[in-house]
Amino acid sequence: MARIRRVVGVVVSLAATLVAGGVLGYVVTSFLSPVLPGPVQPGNRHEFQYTRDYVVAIIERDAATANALLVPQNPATRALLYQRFEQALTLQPRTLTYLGGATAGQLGAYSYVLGVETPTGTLHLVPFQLTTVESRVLDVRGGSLGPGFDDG
Amino acid sequence: MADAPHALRVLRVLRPGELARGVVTVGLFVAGIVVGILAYERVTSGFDYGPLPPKAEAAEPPAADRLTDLLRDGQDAILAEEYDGELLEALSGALVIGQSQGLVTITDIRHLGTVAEGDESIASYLAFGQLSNGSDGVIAFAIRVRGDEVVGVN
Repeated sequence: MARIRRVVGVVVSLAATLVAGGVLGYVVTSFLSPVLPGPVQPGNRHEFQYTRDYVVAIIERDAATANALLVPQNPATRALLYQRFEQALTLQPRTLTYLGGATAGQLGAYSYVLGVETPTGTLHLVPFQLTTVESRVLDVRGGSLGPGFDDG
Repeated sequence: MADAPHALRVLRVLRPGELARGVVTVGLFVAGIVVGILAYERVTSGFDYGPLPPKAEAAEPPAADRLTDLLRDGQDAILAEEYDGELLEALSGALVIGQSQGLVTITDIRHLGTVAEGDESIASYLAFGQLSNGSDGVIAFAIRVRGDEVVGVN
């Protein structure tokens, strides 16, 4: 009996060592990976589903979804928001990169970069910045393809 | 280095069983760390990007870093000297939410990340400070850099 108890004690001790190493590896990686160069780690950046849904709705010209996620605004203001992205959305969306965000007071600010492709295969970068309040989009800026864009 | 002979003496007095136990313990601990890292990679790689995957991140362009440093430090005279009116107008507009609420004081600017394509980069930032109504605020803005020159602000 004493021998079994001793074996169990050793096994538990070894398992605890393995688990302790595992927890340390997981926690340290979760802290380090956002500051390391490499692919985007959305899990570390706390991307909200509603901000992505809004950006995707703009890209897909889904006005009903976009308006549902927007703080109530008059039609002219909403039209202005869509107009900012009109030129970029004549091109084929290829990539969407979430770069992060933060809140201060009631406001949240989040940043995306859309990659759109011209018919000749050139990728252009289009910034998207959202300002939010209480999980709804208050303002969206960006949409520019940059100076000197010549559709090529 | 002076501790090396001491460590050797300690190893000599350890019984073979104790040494083996120590090696196994350290080995298991290291194996645990590797398992933890792999588990983290597995958990975070399950994000569904749909048809629009992200681009890999690039380094922050020095030109954008300099512009945001000047902005954060309130170096308006240098800003006026080094950048044209169109760019400063775009920068001023980027620090306004909607039609009217603008940041009147900037306490901090944080680089969020950069995406690059060819010689062009989009560097994204958060500006923290006080809004014109006195409350705390944060605004995201992006700087477009071509080569080593700032060519636009959104």
